Amino acid sequence: MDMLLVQDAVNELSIPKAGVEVEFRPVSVFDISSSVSMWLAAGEQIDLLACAFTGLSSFISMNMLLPIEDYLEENGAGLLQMQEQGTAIFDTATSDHIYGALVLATISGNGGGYLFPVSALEEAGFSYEYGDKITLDDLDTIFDAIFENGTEAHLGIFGSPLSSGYTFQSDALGTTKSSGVLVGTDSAEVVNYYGCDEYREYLEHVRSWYEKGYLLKDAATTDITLSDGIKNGTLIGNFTEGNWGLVDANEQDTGEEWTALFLNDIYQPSIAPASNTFWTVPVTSQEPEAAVRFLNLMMTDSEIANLLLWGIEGVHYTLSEDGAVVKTEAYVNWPLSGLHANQRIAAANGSETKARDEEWNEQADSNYTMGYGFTYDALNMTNQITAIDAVIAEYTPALETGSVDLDTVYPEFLQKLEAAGIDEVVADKQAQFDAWLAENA
Amino acid sequence: MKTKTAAKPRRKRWKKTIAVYGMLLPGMIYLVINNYLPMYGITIAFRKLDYSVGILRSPFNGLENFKFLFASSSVITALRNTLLYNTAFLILGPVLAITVAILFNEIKNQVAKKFYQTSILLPFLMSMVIVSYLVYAFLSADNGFLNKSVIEPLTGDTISFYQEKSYWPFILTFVHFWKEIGFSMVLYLSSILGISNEFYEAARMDGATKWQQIRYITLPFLKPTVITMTILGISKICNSDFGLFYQVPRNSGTIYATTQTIDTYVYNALMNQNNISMSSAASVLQAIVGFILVIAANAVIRKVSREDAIF
Repeated sequence: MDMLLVQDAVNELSIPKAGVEVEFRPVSVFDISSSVSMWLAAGEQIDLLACAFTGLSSFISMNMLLPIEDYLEENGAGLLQMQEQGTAIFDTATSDHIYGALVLATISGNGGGYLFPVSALEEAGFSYEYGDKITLDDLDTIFDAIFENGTEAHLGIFGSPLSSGYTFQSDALGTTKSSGVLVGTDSAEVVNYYGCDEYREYLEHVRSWYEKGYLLKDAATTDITLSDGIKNGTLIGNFTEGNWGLVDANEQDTGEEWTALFLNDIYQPSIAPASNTFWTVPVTSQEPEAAVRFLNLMMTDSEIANLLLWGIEGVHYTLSEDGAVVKTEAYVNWPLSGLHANQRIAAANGSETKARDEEWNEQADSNYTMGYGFTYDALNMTNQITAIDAVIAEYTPALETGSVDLDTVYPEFLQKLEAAGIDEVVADKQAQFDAWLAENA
Repeated sequence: MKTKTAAKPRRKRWKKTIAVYGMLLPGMIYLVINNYLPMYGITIAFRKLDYSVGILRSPFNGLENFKFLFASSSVITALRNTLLYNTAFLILGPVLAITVAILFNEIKNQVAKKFYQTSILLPFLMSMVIVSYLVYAFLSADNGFLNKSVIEPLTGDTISFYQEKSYWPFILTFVHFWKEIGFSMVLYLSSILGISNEFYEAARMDGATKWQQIRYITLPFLKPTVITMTILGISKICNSDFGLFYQVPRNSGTIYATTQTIDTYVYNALMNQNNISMSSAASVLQAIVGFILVIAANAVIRKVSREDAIF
């Protein structure tokens, strides 16, 4: 197993550097929540744990995690230093305690746009450059031209992952969109994401694309993955964040030139934007000091970061002359490998990426939303959010791929959200946010 | 009355039967470990789980965990679907399985019998995930066999099955029986094979037609099997085959109105919440309803025909 090779290589470094020997425990990223509950309920010894995408509040409310602030001084000097120097890796909004360190993606903040193969744009007579701003109406024109040219391929808009989040600026305030968002960077009003004008506008556009046959008929339920479709040329791009790493990954996969056009200015939402993934120490840990020492190493040592992210040099990847990663064979699934460590200190995927990412981060840090630094505590609304999530799971894949009639289904969706209590949740989020604003203004 | 006379032989009988009870032991141990020990987990449904102190020391919070089950109108739909599908399966199940079993019993060519038996059992051995792809290969709007080879040539249009809720009660019932019938048929077939040939010979002597033989010999002999199977089925009336209702419709939201069951609702609702207490609450509720229904069904059967009741 290649994972064990990487584990050995990591141990070769971590034993002398931090006196810690680690053993990897692989888990599918989609099963983390459920597997972790089982492991911890059974008292299994896990010392360092990734809470992926969900944020920390539900883990904290069930006392699954150990506060680590007491260990930091002695074992996590590097982490403290990062926090002091302005890289917010601790979630200080959810709790007074420190429960873990945020995974640092290469970029912070969000963008949002559409990823195109350059050839498709050129053949249709457009000359855009990476980073150009467009609107959804521009996309209409571009798609019309591309499909008039005649193509067998379709747009990469699927029921999973969903695309609407890339079409306008929204800030879910540290939780999920189901409990309401701020729209744009200068709004302090929490609104129902699914009821706002921007969302409706996206739905109208995607419905028209679906009706013109630009999307797969099975788009809502297909399990063709974006990366497969892009690789074999059956998909013409997709909605994404738009950062250069994605462009570069597509270029490596297809051997073609790619570019990203932006619908949004890059912006910095509330805490934990890019991944909302934290490395934490669970209560079943027997050696929390060692766990924090390794966490410190993961986040500060570029050799370890490279091993965790890319594997062993020469086996799983090679470095080009300018220091960029050229992937050969994955030791784990590539698309999510960013969750394993601090990406900013690791080698980058593609030679331009480092510089472009820095540019991105600068833009993000000059364009905060009103909610930057605030996290919503959804604990009192658990039942409503469960019901709302069920409604969202029911309607969004079909609506956001344009697969169903907007005039009949969309009002039904909104009405069901209301019945599930979304207004109550949005009001609760607004109240907490107002209190925080008053305190921090 | 009999105690005095039975006292001595009973001790002897005990010596005789100890070996038999010994054979029962591994099964009992398995049952206790696998089915009874985990029941202490029922308490999770009534607690606010605190991982730092463990399950048994977590504080109780009454029925708080059950509330989410009643927080949304989708639950009513899910409950209705669960009950209706299970009722349909309970009624159609024995009818189809017995029909097939009787037909099988009439196949005299041994080679043909083996061949049919294997082919009808094959779907039962398949994983639901594979079945879901077979169904998808038929129903997909882009490349599905039905759309590409039948519907489109005939009508010039395609049907997005995964967005049309009206088709799914039929599709799911069909898939369920296509997959399950091979197995349930075997149960009935073995009962039929256990019926002594003398009954049929006597009936033929009296000039009974094939239909009369089935009506007056085979079916009465199958009655206990049907009752046992039905009571077992009733105990699971609030449960559903997760693979059938989640994988086969590809978890498509637009058709939840006819495909979502309690199990898939709970799964979808709690997927992102890692809340063991709430999922326990759902499964405790299913178990309690199932338990009550089994007792009730058995009581009814005891009233109607005493000797067929299970307990």
